Amino acid sequence: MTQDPLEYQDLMDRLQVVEKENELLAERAEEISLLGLVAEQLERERDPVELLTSVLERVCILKAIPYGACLERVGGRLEATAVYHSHRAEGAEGADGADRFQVREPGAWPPSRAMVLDAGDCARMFEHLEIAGPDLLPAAVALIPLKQHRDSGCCLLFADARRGPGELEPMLPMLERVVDLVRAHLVKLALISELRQLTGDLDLKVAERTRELSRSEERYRILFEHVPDGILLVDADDEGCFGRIEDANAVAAALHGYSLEELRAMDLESLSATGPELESFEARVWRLRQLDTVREELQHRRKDGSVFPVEAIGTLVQVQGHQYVLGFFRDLTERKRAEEALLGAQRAESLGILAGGIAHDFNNLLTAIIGQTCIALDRQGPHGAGRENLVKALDASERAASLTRQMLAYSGRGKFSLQAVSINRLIRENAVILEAAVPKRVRLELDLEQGLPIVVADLSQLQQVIMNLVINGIEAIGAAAGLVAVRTRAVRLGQADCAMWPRSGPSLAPGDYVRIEVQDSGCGMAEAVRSRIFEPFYSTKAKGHGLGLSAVQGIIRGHRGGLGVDSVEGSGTTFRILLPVGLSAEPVAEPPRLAAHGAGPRVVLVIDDENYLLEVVRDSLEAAGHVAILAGSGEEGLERVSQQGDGIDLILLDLSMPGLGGVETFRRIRAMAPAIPVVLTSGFAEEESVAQLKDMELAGFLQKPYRARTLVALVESMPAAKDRKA
Amino acid sequence: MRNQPPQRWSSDGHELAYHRFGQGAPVLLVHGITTYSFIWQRLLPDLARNHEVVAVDLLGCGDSDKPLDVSYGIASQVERLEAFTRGLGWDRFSIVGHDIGGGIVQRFAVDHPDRLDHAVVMNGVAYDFWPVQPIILMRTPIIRQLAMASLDLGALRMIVRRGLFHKERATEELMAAFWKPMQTRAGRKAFLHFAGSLDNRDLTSIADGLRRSRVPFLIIRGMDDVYLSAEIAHKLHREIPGSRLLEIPEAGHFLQEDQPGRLVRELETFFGA
Repeated sequence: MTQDPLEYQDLMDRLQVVEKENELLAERAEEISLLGLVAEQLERERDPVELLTSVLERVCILKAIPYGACLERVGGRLEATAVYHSHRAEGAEGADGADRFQVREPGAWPPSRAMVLDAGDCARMFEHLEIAGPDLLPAAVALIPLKQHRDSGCCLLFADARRGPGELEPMLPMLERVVDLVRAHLVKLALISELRQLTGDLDLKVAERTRELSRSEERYRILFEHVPDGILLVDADDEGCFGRIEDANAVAAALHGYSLEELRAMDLESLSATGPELESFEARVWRLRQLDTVREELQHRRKDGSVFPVEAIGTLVQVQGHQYVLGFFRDLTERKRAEEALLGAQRAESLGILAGGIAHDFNNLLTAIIGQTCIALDRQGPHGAGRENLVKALDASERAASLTRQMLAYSGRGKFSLQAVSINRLIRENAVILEAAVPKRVRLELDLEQGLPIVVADLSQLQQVIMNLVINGIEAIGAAAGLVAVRTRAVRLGQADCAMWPRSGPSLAPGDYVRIEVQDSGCGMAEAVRSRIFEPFYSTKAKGHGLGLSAVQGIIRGHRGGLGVDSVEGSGTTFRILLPVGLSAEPVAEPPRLAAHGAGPRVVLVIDDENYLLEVVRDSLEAAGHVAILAGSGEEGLERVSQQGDGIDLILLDLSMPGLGGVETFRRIRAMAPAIPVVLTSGFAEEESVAQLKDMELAGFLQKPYRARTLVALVESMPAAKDRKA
Repeated sequence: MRNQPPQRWSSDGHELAYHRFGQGAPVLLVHGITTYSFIWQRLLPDLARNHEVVAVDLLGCGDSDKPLDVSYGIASQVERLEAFTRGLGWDRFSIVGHDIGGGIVQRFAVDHPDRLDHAVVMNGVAYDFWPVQPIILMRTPIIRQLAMASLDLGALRMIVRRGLFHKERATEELMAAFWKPMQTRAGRKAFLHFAGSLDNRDLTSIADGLRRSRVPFLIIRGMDDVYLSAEIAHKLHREIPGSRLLEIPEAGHFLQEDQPGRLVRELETFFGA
C-alpha cells in the first residue's frame, strides 16, 4: 500500500492533536472525578482531621503525588495535623519520628496565595522540610493556604520527589478549588460543632429544669399526700356538672372510705349529705369567684353511708388556664365531741357554782332555822304545847342540811379535810355497814389489790362516793339476783391513758393512781341516760333528787381524780374512779377536843354578814349565859377587836363575807390580838382558804348548819380570856 | 468461604492469610490484581472433592499483611509462595494462577520446576504486558483506572463489569468482596503499592526459561477478556513446549465467575492427565 508522505504526516499530526486533546479531556475528567470524590467525602466525614487526611489522600492518589499534609501553626512551630504519605504504612508517622517543618520567617506563614516552589524556593522558605519514612526529597512543593480556617495559619502542602514545579503548576487551580470546598465544609463543621455545643448546653439546661420541676413536683406531692386534711381538686370549669373530682389525696379517700381511684371517678356533690337546702356546686363556685376563699361546715357521706361533719375550705385556683376549686376537708367529728364535752363540763361547772352558792345560803338559813328552833325547844318545857312540831321542824331542817351537803359535794366546795387514806381499809369498813343494807339476792364481792398505795383524800367524802356507787349498783339490779363488785388496783397512767378519761376534767396528769371500780350486773343504761347521769338534779329514780352521782363527780374532781363509766343497756354498769397516789400523807390533825374550861360566861365576838345568823348566834349564846358582840362585816369585827381587845374570849368568824372577807379579817385579827382564839365557820369550806389559815393556829372549824348545842359546847371548850392570860 | 476466618502463615514478620479445603493432590490457587482468594469461591467446592486446595491472599491483598516497605512484585511473591508451600508441608503440587497470578505461575515454573506437577495460567500476564518500573510511575491509563478504582466503587464496578462476560453476575455481593480491601486507607495504599511494584522485567527475564520448561502447562483464555489480548495466551502456548491452550467462549477476564463449572472440569482433566 503506497502512501503519500505528506498525507501521512498530516494524519500523524492530526493524531497527535487528538491524542493531546484526549489527554486534556482525561485530565479534565479526572479533576471532575476528584472534586466529586472530595465533595462526597466531605459530606460523609465529620472529624476535621480525618476529613483533611481523606482529601489529601484523594488528591495524592488521583494526581499521583506521593505526599500531602495540612500544616498548622502550633505555638511557634508548624505541625502537620493531617498527613498522607503513599509509601508510609498507616500509623507509622510516629515510628520514624514525625515530619519536620520549620519556616525561616514565621511572619511569612501562611503564604498569601497558592504557589508552587522548586527545591531552591523550598530551601529559602523552609529551614526544615523533612518528610520521613521512606524519606522523600521534594523536587517540587505546592502550597495552598486554607484561608480563614481557625486563623491558625493553615495551609495544604503537596510534595513530589520526581515531578518538577512545571508539572505541579497546572494542578494549582484544581487544588485551590479542592481547598475552597474543604474550607467551606470546615466552616460548616465548626458551625455544626458550635450548634451541637449549644444544643448540648440547652439539653443540660432542659435536664436541670426537668430535675428541678421533678423535685418541686415531688415536694408538692409529699405535701399533698401528708397534709392531715383531705384535699380535693375539683373541676370548676365543667359547666352543668356536679364538681368532677380531678385529684384527691389519700387522706380525702380515707376520710370518705373510698379508694383513690374511686374518689377520682366521682364528683363532689355525690359526697355531700347536706341535703337539698345546700346551694348547687355551680352556685358555690360562683360565690367563690367573688370571695376567693369560702369556709363552711358541711355534712359528708362516707362510702358505707354514714354521715359525718366536715369543715370545708374552698379556694378557686387556676391550673394551666383551667379553673379548679381546691378544697381542704377536715373531719369535725372529734372536735364536735370535744366541744360537747367541754360544754358539758362548763355546764357542770356553772351548776356547781350555782349549787355551791345556793347550798351556802341555805346553810346560813338552816343555821338560823335550826338555831331558833333549838332555842324555842329549850325555852319550852319538856311537855310544852307544839314541842312535837318543833322537833319535826328540826328533823326536816337536818334533812335539808344533808341535801345541802350533797350539793356542796357536787360543787366541789364541801367540807374538805385531807388525810392519808387507805382505800382498801375504807372499803372494808364500809362493806360491813353496806352488807346490812344489801338484800340477800345481791352478792357484794370485794377484789382489793394488796399493797395498794395510800391516797390523800377527805375520808368522809370518799366514804360518800363508795356508798353512793354501791347503792346505785344495788338499785340497778332491782328485784333480780345480781352482783356488785368493788375492785381496787394500783395503776400508772401515761399521757395516752390520761386521754382515755374524758370525764375526769382537764387536770388529770400522768402518774400513779389508785383505781376503784364498782361494777354491777344490773340493767345498765342507754347512751341517752349515760350521757346525763352526772348532771345535777337528773334522776331516773322515782324518788331520786339527782344529786348522788353529781356529788361523786364533784368529790372526785375536788380530789383531782378521774371518773369514768361504762354501761351497756341490759348488761350492767361499771364506774371507774382514779385517785392520785399521795406522795407524803400529812398527819391527820386531831380534832380539837371539846374539853370544858368551866361554865363561866364568855364574851364571844361573832362576825358574819348575815343579820339573822348574828341574831340566832346571839340568842343561842345568851340562852347559855354568854355574851355575844355582833359585827356585820370584817371591818366592823376588827373595830370591835381594837375597842375591846383582851375582853374577848373567842371570835366566831364567817369565812365568806363581802368586803374584807374571812381570810383577810383573820390575818388582821391575828396581827392585832394574836392570843384571841378564832373559830372559823362557813356554809362551805374552801380547801385553799383552810390551807392558808392552817398555819395561823385556827382554834376550830364549825360547819354550817350547826345546832346551838354544838356552838355552845365549842364556846365553852375554849379557855376564858382571864385564864388565857394566866 | 468468606464466612470462615482464614488461616495464617508467618514468615519474615509478615503473615499470609489462606483458606484450605479438601484432601488429595495439593493445588495452590494464586489470584491477580484487584482480587484476592475470594475469586476462587465458585471453583472451590468441586475442586476440593479430589484435591487439597489452598487459596492464598498474596502479601498486600485480602486478609494478608500489608507492609509498604517490601516489594509486592512477581519475583518476590514467587519466593514468598515457595516458602509458604513448604510451610504447608507440600513437596510437589500443582499451581493455578490468574491475571498477575498467571505471571507468578510462569516465574514459579522457571525458578522452581521440581516443585510443580502442573502449571495453569488463566488470563495471565506475560512478557512485556506490564510497563517497565520507571515508566509505571508515569500516569498510564491502567494506573489511572486502578487509582480511581481504589477510591470509587463506581469505577471499580466498571472494571469488574468489563471483566465479566455475564455482566449480571456483578452482584452487590460480588462487588462487596472486590471493594472490601479498598475500605481502609491501609488497604488502598497496599493495592496501589501492588500496582506500583509490578515490573515487566520479572517476566521478560524468564522468556528463555519458559522455552526450556518441562513443567506441563495449561494456558486458559476467556475469549471475551477485554484486558489481556489473545496474543499473550497464543505466544505462551507457542513458546512453552508441550503446553495446552484452552480458549473458553462466553468468558471474560474474571472467568472464574463466568465459567466456574467448565474450569473445574478442565482442571480435573488436566491434573488427571
